[in-house]
Amino acid sequence: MAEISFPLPDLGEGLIEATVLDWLVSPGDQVERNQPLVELETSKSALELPSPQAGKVVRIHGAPGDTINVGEPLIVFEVPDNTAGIVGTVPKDDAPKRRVRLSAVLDED
Amino acid sequence: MSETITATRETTAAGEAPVQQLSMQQALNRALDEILAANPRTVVFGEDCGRLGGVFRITDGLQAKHGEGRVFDTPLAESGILGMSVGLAMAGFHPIPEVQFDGFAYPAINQIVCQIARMNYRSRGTLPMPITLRVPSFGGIRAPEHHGESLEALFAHVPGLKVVSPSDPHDAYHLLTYAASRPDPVIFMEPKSRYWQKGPVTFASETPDAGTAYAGAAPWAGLTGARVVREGRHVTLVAWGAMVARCLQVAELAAEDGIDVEVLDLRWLKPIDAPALVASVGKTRRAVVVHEAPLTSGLGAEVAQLITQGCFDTLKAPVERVTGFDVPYPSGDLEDEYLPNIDRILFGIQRVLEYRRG
Amino acid sequence: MTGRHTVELHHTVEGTDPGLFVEVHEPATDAGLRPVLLIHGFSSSSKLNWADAGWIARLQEAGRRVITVDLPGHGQSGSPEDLDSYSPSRIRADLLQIVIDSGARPLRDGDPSTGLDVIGYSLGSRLAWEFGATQSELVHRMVLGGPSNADPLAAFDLVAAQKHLADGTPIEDESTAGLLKMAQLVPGNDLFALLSLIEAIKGEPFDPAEAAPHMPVLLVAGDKDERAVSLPELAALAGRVGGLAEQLLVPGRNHTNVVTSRAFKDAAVAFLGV
Repeated sequence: MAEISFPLPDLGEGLIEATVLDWLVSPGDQVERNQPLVELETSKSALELPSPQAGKVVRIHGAPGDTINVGEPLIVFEVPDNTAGIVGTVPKDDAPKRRVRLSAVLDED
Repeated sequence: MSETITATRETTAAGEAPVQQLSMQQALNRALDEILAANPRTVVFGEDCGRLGGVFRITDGLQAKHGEGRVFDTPLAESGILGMSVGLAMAGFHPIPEVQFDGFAYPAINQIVCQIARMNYRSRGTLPMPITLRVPSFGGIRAPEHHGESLEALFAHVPGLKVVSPSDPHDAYHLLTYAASRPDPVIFMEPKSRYWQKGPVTFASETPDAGTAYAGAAPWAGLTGARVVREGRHVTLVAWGAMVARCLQVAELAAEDGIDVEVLDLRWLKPIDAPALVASVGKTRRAVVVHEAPLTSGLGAEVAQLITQGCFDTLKAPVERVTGFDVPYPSGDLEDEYLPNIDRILFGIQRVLEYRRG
Repeated sequence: MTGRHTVELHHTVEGTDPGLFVEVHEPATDAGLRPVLLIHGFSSSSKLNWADAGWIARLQEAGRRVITVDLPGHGQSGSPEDLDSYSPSRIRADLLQIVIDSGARPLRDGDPSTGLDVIGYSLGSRLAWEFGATQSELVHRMVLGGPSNADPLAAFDLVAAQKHLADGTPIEDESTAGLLKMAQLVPGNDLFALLSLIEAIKGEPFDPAEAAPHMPVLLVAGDKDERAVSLPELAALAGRVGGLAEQLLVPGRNHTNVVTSRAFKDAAVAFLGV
């Protein structure tokens, strides 16, 4: 198992910090990619931050009302070692399936 | 080039050296860790290689262990990554840069072809380029464009470059260690669809005198040429990277039909181990080359020529090629249609079995 | 289906195209219920108010087909030159045309796929209130978030704002200064288009008593939102014309941050899910 820390991402438009409104996940939860993790409020609006990946939540940073700067740790996931990278998926090692059969007269000349 | 890779074909003696079950990911990570520890002039860098530990976790933990000066992130600029490698090599460093995905190498072709490949030649040996360029390569992980391409023929065509691709964790560990020890540039093509499967990795004995497995031989003995991964009598499948595992599956299926398939993992794509090809096909008298890259001007053509040259009199059929198609690499949803599959490879075998002279 | 509301693809109202950006978000599994129109607030956008805040995903998850529209001068919509394109009555007419073009059909008894549900926020709630009041053949239920019985935009001091933008003259009116600051926080905003919208709203200020919706309405506000006091009055106005109005106060939330609240979303999805 490996831990992956996810910092508060750049929320765009010059925003440098966000305030935690409510966590939607808790340590121990298994989350899916794009599942909402936390409600955040910026100087501009309130938003839900989707999970960048699937994994088990190990730690969350910031209680409701706390301010977190962009780039500071927000959440730590535990992922299996054989999890794909940021791009792509781990190929499944399925049992090989065939349609073609071989037929040959092997003259040993 | 300052040296030639010879086709030594010894295999390591089993039993003496410690064996661990590792994924290729872990094997490469361990190799990099040991290379960094052993050679203070080694630097590892690329997009996301530092803090994140690489998008495939190959450099995981290395920055924390070896410091930000030796394992670091670069901007999203492959020409800069390879251009910097040239400068570092000139200054006496041993860079191990990463191009995050095969298709991202195109912006750095100028640095690779015009500088890295020929600086040693151009400087009459005064500016060697001991650079190992790691390129997560080939398809099979359902990724978007530029994340599934096979550039071996492009690289192999450039004088001054060596090109190698491991097919399993053991080879990944040893070939990377070996490549990084070379004074010449090596393009190290990692089959990304094989990163996660575990396999036994045999290490050199950790105490110099305890083991005898490598006594008198360099640890990479047996790694500098091709490798017969399965012996057979009727036909040779020649493959590299991720296609080796697929060819082994095909060999099992062919055995059900009474066909005994030999699988040769080419490993070094430049220079190609021609004696190994000739030895294998000289025995089986039939050959099928399998690669993911498009057919036309693919490396399969070079392999077919080397086989024809060495086995012309004994070949029972023209060498067949089972490859990707002459189209841009498709999106992930379509890659099963593009990549050589079990049936296409079996069909290639059937064609060489059926061929009759006259 | 996504895309710009254009002359080629859609009908226009009164012969001019307001260039509104419309998106229809299909659910993975359709619950077979009528579409939901989302109307965002002043100085916001469908992206900020609904997508980023998690509403579209939440509604899609509930099997709802969602129609979003960026108001003129907001989000990816155009900023028409003429003032009329910003008037609430014209916007309501455009919304009606958009929902019909997007597949909404007049309510028919016993067919849950007919009609339209509406969720508005702030200015969007004002527009929804009037839209529902005039479209009882079409609108099935509405959820109005952060609504107001007064009209903070109609009280906006346009002259002071324009002076402030021209030479930095301080704005005396606190509400005007606050609204302008809010508008300036979103760099993508076309400030002059927003001022046109305010000018048009001043010509048609909100009077909730003028026409009240007859269909069931859920009124929602954060309990720290000063507009929360509007809820009982709006509920009474709806009740007077026979409408059924439920009220929900979300604890601890204000006018900005009630938008992401789970309690708000869950209540809205349940209220509209019949």
